[in-house]
Amino acid sequence: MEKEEVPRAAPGKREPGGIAAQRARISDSGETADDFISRLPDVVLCTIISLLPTKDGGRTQALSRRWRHLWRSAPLNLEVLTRLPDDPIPTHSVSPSAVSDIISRHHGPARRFYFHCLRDDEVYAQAESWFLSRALANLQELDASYGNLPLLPSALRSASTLLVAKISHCDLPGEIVPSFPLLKQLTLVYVSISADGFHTLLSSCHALESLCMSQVRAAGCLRVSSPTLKSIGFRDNHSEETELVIEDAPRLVRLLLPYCYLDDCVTIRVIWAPKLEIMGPFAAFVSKLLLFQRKSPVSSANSMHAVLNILRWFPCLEKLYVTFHKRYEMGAKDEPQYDPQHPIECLQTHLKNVVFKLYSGNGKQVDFARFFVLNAEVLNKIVFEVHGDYSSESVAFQHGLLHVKNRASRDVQFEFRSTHVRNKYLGDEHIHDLSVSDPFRQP
Amino acid sequence: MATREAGKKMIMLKSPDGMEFEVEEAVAMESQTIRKMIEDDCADTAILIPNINSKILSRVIEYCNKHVPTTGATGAAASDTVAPAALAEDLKIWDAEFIKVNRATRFNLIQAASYLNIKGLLDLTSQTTIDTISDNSLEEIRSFLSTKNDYLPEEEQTIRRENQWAFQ
Repeated sequence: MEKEEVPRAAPGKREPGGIAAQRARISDSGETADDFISRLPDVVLCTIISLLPTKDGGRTQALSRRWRHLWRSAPLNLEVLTRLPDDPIPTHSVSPSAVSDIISRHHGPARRFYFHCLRDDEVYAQAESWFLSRALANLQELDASYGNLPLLPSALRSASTLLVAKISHCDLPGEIVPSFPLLKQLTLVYVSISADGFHTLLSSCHALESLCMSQVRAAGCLRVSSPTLKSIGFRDNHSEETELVIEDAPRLVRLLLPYCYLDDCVTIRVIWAPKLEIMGPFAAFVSKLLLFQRKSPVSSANSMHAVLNILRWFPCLEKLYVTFHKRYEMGAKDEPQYDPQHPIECLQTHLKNVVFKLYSGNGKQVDFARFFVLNAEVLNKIVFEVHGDYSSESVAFQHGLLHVKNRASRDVQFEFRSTHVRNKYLGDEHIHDLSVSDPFRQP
Repeated sequence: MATREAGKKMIMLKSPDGMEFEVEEAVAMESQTIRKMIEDDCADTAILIPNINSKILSRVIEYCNKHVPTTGATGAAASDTVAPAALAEDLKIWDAEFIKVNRATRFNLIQAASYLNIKGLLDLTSQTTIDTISDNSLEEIRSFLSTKNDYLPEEEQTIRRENQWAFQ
């Protein structure tokens, strides 16, 4: 390996000073001074420019004559952010006042438009013309957030080419929904929408694979029917009554519900999602996850009942996250109602991983966990996430309580994992990136 | 490396320096350029890949071998318990090792990925350059890329003035 290589910065984390300084030293340490990059074809250089942050992309025009005209024909990556006067100097994004200049110089099309503005009527009025400009035609990625004003109709002008869309802090009028033939990822954060509008929006997405919702306020329930969806993420709703109904999701493999357990205003009903593989965290003892077969509920308030119903209802489930919450663990003892004469397919053939979060090892939690030890026949691993430190004695003691000797799956591993961070923010990327095998893993 | 299995169609790729590589058709079709040639029936015996020497071509084939989607039989070889997501994470680790090459090789790989139209490889090989350009001053970038500033001082001033937003 040659010296020039440096480890890639993790996405989203940049350490300008450190890496730049490191590179500068490496560059000095002598490699053949060949300008390889300038020999690359225009199309490749344009791809590189379009992936650069906005200002870095614009600055490439001044590198050398070879680069001068490339920025204009490279798909535009425009990141606009309003900031307060005393904010520290930003690096990547430009302020709204620079936008007219940029879009008048660029020929389009655009790859990405990131537009996060505080409530500002003047900017809001200008934005209408930006969206309609030649430079911002045929957008692939849109990330728009404005201070709780209605979404501009022109914001969805590129609906036919959009692949990724995130809409936050605005009202989504239900009646302006065009068709999104290519859209794969949709994120809605702090958005108000009518129940009908939401349904229409989803029906107009013909290729949607992942949907992430956080604090979506809707009058009535959010109904999901999609033949293409593979992943749904749904987050807390700050004590607003919300009901999510997954009516028909034949290809859904992930249902991620971070923090819903903290908020008993959220009700989730799943009517049809037969391919589900990863689910969680299921909040033991408090979950309002209800599973419906046609119109009749098959779930109950008893948490062992509820989890058995999940296992019956999702025969392909491979990975189940369960979270405990001491505050809610009062009440009657749960008796597992599992009759081995009527086995559950999921426990016999599919369930491979169970992760218990916030495990403190008290009696009720042990009963709950022991059920999986004794009945899940193809388990590979059970993870117990313990807050703080634990000793090897306490692990041995837990093994005894859990009846590890009588485990149903001979090969199962028991892992006790210490976590010191609680309720860490779970990024949207875990919901959209299906290549992350453990979407709740804390770094 | 993939083993040659009965019934799999093989394709011969030739580099301009005379080396020949026999690869599975599915592996070669990771390249959209080659895919098109095969689909248009322009690839009967061997395909000459111009401008890509054997050293680079063998690395490209190594990449495609690793990234060709595994279908039922081959996927089961590892273990039928490996979830697709776990495979994807392994691939990321493999990619990180693969890209530890010197700068000349990396730019040759970028060029090859562009000509052969292999999106994953192009993204992977371009990323180091993107990291180099982000967050650095023009002088630093020129130095890292060995790019000579051939502007007259007043020309550079004009560009900076016309694109003030990028230099603030």
